[in-house]
Amino acid sequence: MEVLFRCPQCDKEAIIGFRYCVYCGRHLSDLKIQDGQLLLTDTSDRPKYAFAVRRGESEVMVSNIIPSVGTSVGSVDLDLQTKNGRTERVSLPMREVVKAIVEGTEIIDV
Amino acid sequence: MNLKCSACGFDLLDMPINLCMDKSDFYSNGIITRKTLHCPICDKGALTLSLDELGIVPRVDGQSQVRLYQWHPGSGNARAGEIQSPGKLTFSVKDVEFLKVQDLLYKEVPAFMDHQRRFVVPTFPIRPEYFDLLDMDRIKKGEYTPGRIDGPFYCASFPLRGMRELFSEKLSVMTSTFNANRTSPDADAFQDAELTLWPDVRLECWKFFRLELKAGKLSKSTLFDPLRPVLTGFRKASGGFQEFNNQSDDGNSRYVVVDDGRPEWLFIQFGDNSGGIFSLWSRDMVFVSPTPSTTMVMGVDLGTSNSCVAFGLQGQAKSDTMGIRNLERRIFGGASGDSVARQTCVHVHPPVRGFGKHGDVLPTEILLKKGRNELLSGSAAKWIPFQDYTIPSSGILPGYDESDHILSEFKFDIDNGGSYSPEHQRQLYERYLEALLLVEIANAYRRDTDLVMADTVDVRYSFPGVFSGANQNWVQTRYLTVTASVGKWTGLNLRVGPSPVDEATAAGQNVSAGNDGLRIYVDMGGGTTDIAVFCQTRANPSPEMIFQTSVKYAGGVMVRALVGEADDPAYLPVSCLQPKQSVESLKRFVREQPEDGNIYSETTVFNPDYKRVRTRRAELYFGYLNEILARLIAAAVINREFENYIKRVRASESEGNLASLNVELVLLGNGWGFLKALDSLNSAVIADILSERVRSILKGEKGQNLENVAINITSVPLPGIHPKAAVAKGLLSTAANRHIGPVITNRTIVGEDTHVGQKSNPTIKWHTIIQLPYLPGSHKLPVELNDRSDLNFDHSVPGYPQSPPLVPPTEYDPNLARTGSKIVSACLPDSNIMKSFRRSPYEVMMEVVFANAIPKEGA
Repeated sequence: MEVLFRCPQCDKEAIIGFRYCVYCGRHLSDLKIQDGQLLLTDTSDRPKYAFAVRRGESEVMVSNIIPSVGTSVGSVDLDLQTKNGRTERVSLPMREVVKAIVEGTEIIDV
Repeated sequence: MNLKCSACGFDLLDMPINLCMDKSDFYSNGIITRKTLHCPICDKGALTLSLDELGIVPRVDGQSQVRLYQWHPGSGNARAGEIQSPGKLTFSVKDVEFLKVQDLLYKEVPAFMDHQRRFVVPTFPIRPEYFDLLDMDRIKKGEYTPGRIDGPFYCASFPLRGMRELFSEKLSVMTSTFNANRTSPDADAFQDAELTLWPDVRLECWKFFRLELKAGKLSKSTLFDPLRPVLTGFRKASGGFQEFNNQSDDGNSRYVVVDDGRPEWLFIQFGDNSGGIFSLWSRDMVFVSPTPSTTMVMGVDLGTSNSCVAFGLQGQAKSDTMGIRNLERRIFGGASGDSVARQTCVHVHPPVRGFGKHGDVLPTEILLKKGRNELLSGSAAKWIPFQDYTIPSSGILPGYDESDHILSEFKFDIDNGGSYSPEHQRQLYERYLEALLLVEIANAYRRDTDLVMADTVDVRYSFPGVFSGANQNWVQTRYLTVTASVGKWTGLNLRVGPSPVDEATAAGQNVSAGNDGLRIYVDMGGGTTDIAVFCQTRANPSPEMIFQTSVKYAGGVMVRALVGEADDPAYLPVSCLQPKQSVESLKRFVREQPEDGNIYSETTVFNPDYKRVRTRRAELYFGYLNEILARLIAAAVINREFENYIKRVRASESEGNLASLNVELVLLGNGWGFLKALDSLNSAVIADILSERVRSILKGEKGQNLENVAINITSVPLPGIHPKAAVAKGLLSTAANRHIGPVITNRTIVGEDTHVGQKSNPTIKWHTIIQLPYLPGSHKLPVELNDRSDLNFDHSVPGYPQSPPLVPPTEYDPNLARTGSKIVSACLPDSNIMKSFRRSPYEVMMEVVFANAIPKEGA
């Protein structure tokens, strides 16, 4: 999968998964939920990349994304729906998202 | 390299990605510097990346275009601009070119020697145009091995920007031409070349320096070979190298004055391929900032012939003059030594040694690189100290005619310019003061001083008592102007101290009260003799000044008398000097004498054929001063000034006749240097002669009942202060709030009666005593001349005793017979009193002898 695209502001190659352009700081993408999976979209809501979330040995559904506040803004909190119907909150470092994209994996372990 | 976001902790180096950049990413306000990256996760923390960190070096090429370089790896298939970070990140930078280190270096380096005959070679062999490729941050941390001789080669290791390892190189030592039998670097060293930097001060803020590259006999042909251009340039901490090529007239040295920052590096380049860069400061040199909120007080006694400066920390009693030393920092070359250096042409380096026993006296003279005509045809406004001129130094034997290059006597004649136009005089005064303050402050702040490095310098100064209010304002303006420029050069806050005082008063600050009686400070300088008379009691800590005067009759008069100078060119008295001697050479000779020297025995300076003429002129010189002092003391007795003082300070109404009066005579100044007058023997003789004359005057005052007053005059030395330093040191003392007694004038005017009384109005007739106490085997016969009412002209000279025979006036000047009428007219009383004090002792003598004898006009 193509992981690079051009930043519409500085026209430099950006990496899908970066929320902001590393060169000029333009807002490039957001993380959303679609069918229990994570979906990376551009700022026009066009989907760019989707991947499943795995907890332990099995995939889990993501029910909510809570933006982190305070110092740990490099992470987001995810509410996962477990098999027994309970909800578990975990932290997902954004670098794991970027690494998953760069490395071409479609599953993120949390 | 650190690309971790300070806000979210995201580390870009962990990303297995490639960042693409080009030259434009690193521009900021036109200067290549750093690129600021954005955190791709939070956009809150800034990630900065510099070309240095990438190992890429920006340089400006000949067309002012910025080009990017990367060191050539030497092997492999690497591509310029492909850089691997310490993590997983990689960079691709466009338009980067490879650069070979060897292209930056000279092919061979020169070798010099220090005073212990050890090699001194360039710190780095890099060409100046590539100097900015050195990694200065690492060099400041000591990450380098300066150049050294290893066997027959030169070796150095140094860090280059963008290169992790130190670069080491081994080069040849250049072959000099004075020794063709090259067997080792020893044979190649420029053995007698010198590189110096003045001054060796450790102040961070100091901005005035002088760099000089000097060749000796061995190295001159190579160092300044006209067939092989030698380039020299210096560089400050920032900016590029600036070439310099000011050359001394003998072609032996090249120098530059820098007044806006400290030179750190110097390059010397021979032809195209030889040279190197020298560090001008040692690795361990620590520059310090001046101590905040501290003040150094600087007392400046700018004399007519000589100047002296004292320093003291404000609020502390300790103060002293500063022996002027050689403050040259020697990067290579022999030791300066104490031997007298002969110079065939004017070298305008700062004085390396002061004059006098303590080395703390400097001539009030400007030594001009070009001839005196330089001033007449232009302006001194833009002369730069130690580039265009200097102050003459002790320890130098000029092989050129000093009279062609020395400008002096610019302290006086402010109103009419004297020898110079008013504009030139102002400029000369300022230029001299600039050089003086620079030299003195540099000495006070020199590297090894233990003085506190005060951030503020209060400059206090004195002025001659003859100066009018307008004259004093003129002087103050000069100080204000000069302290502004010198403050800029030194980085210190220079202020002109409050309330300047006259020179005698300043000298009087040194001694607290002594015995009951009078104390007279006599400061004889080169231009004026300043006299202050104090009444004092042992119990009263604040002596009262009852009289103060300043006459333009001092050491300069004696010099001109010995040389035979006259204001009127038609009147040419003989010179007592050897034919090749001049005023300037005599002054230098006198200044170089130890205090106990007998200058008159030096037949290379004085013409022995004119010994008697010389003796007579010296007699007149001191006889005249003796008369002035005697009149002052006698006037104080006749006027009962000491008794009135006692009455005031003791609040006593009792007033009796004075039975005795103690007079302490404090003889100061450099003008006394001629006749050893300040040693204990001669001081005592002066006191004796003076006592005799005072008693003689008092006996003549009929009806005053003063005949039996015992006058005890003693000469009092200033403990621990040599005569020339008294004014400068006195300026540092807390200004005493002295009571000034009744102002009494006309006590020291030649030929005029002195009016001393306010009630009975008694007068003292003017007399001249010609005494011979100061020379070995001299006569000791007082000669009283007839007073001016005697109109009988007598060619045998009235009053002169016939045994032992004294010389007739014609011996003073063989031309006397022909120029008699002019002398007579010059000696007649002048309505301009001050003018009479400009005459030589010979003229003064003539004035007294002839003015009395010649009928007045219309008589």
